[in-house]
Amino acid sequence: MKISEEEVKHIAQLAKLSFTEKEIIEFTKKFGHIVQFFNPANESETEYELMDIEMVKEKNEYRKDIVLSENNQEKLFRNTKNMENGLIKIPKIIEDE
Amino acid sequence: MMNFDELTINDIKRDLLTKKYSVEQLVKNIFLRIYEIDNEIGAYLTLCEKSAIKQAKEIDKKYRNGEKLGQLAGIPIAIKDNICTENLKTTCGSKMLEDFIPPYDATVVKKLKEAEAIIIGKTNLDEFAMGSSTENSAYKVTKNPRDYTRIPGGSSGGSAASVASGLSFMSLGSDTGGSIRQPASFCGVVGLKPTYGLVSRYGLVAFASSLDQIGPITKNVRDCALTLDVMAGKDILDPTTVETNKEKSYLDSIKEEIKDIKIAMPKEFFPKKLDIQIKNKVKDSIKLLKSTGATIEEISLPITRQSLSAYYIISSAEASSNLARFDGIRYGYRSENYKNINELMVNTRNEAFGKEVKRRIMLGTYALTSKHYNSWYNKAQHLRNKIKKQFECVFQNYDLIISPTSPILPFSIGEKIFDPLDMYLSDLYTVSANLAGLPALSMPCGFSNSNLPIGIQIIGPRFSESKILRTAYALEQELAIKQSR
Repeated sequence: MKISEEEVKHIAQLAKLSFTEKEIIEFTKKFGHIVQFFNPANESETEYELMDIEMVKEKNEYRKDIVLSENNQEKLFRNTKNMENGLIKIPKIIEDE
Repeated sequence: MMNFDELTINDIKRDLLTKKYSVEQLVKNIFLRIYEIDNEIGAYLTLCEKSAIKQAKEIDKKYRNGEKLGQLAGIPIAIKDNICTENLKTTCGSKMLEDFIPPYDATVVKKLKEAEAIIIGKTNLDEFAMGSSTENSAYKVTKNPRDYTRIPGGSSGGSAASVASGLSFMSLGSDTGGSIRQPASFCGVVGLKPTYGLVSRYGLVAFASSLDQIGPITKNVRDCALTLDVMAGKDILDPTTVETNKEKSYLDSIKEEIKDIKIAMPKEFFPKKLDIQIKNKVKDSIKLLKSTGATIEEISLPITRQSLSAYYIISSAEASSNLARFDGIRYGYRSENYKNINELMVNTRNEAFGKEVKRRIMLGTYALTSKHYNSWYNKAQHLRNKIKKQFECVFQNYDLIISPTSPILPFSIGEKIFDPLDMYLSDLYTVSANLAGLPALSMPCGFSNSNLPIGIQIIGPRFSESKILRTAYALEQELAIKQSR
């Protein structure tokens, strides 16, 4: 399976990454080898059925919803850059009309 | 000045009780040694000398007063830098978290602190634990203490190197596809990846949540058992953990005989092209186990290649989703170069993630796209189930499985860094235990002609840590006897 530079660009966009044109060429080459090597279609296993996938059989265990510790906002947000009045500042998300 | 390098946790506990030296002396000596040789080895990213000495003095006082002490009281330990430590920088070896100071302790760190172990510092790793050589760290390359021209393995390379060079007496690693066992093997120390669910992952920065486990790296099997006793158990903050309700502690169970143990040796883990020195040393150990009364039989378990494929697809898919949280908004690195929210996220990730992390995110995103989801991700999950069932089949007739830990000896720095695929192949024997959630231990079983450590791997059914440790301990005793002859 060959990977095109266009496909790499598309995947990068989905992953919120970007590459320069030069990086794309190098990346596509190496990525192509990796994708080719790991392609599960290489495996002799042919009895592949979607129904065979059992994700989680066990019953989920929920804990009681009790407060364990007091949330200290200052402590929890000390790694946040650009805070103002207890809120995080980010660029505008909705563009003006 | 006495030589502390070769001491085990057990030795230190004995010496502290007999007042041969104080905890303060021990800790100060460790830092002297770190300043002497860690510039070369590069095991540590962050040190906490002040707090360590302060804690040492407090524990000395407790010793003097005959107060009750924790199981690891006064033992200097190191923590892999992807495990959160309150008020102590946790970088994951990434520029993304270069100034990240966790507001809380991981559960394992909390437990170790309660046992009164002393944290010396945080150890180097491949960025976000993605790699097999510790060369992918954004900060430095750790060297193998046995040979400074070679890598220590990865991703817990700093942790393994710190124990091997006497810069800590126990270190925590994390293992997603072999990241505890392979560096333990390469540095000549003991490393255990516990059963998925035995040790809490709360506070471990997630790489692949269905595969990650935290485990100890120690000088010998006894120390490994002792540390596991401290770390294991249900944690309300990690819903995948379970209570084991075992009758005996791991430490108490290691000395039992292994005559009743039946071990399988999968022939696929000993292919013709396997390094002859690795093959010979592992087979010598198998003979030693036989001499202690264990039964060993060759079986077929054709899963190595499939495991590698399933592992890299599933772990990368989970990583691409887990690492989506690093967007430059709530914490971590934030690009200064942006005009809108999308540019903020893309530029932040581009500037702060290293090459290997980007490669895994790309592979994972690829496997999860609507076009490839069925043929890649679903198929990998199917392979994973198949591998799990094959292990279950083996464990119907056998107690344990034995193999080399790594198909290769520690390689030279720079040898594989430009060939990611070649690097991935070094995980060939370790990834299957993660896919099946099984416990697996690596311990030293000898040296190559060029004096590089060789590791042997023991894999067991879920929650069979006691049996694994017991067998490893028996082998360790036999190897010591053989060596002294």
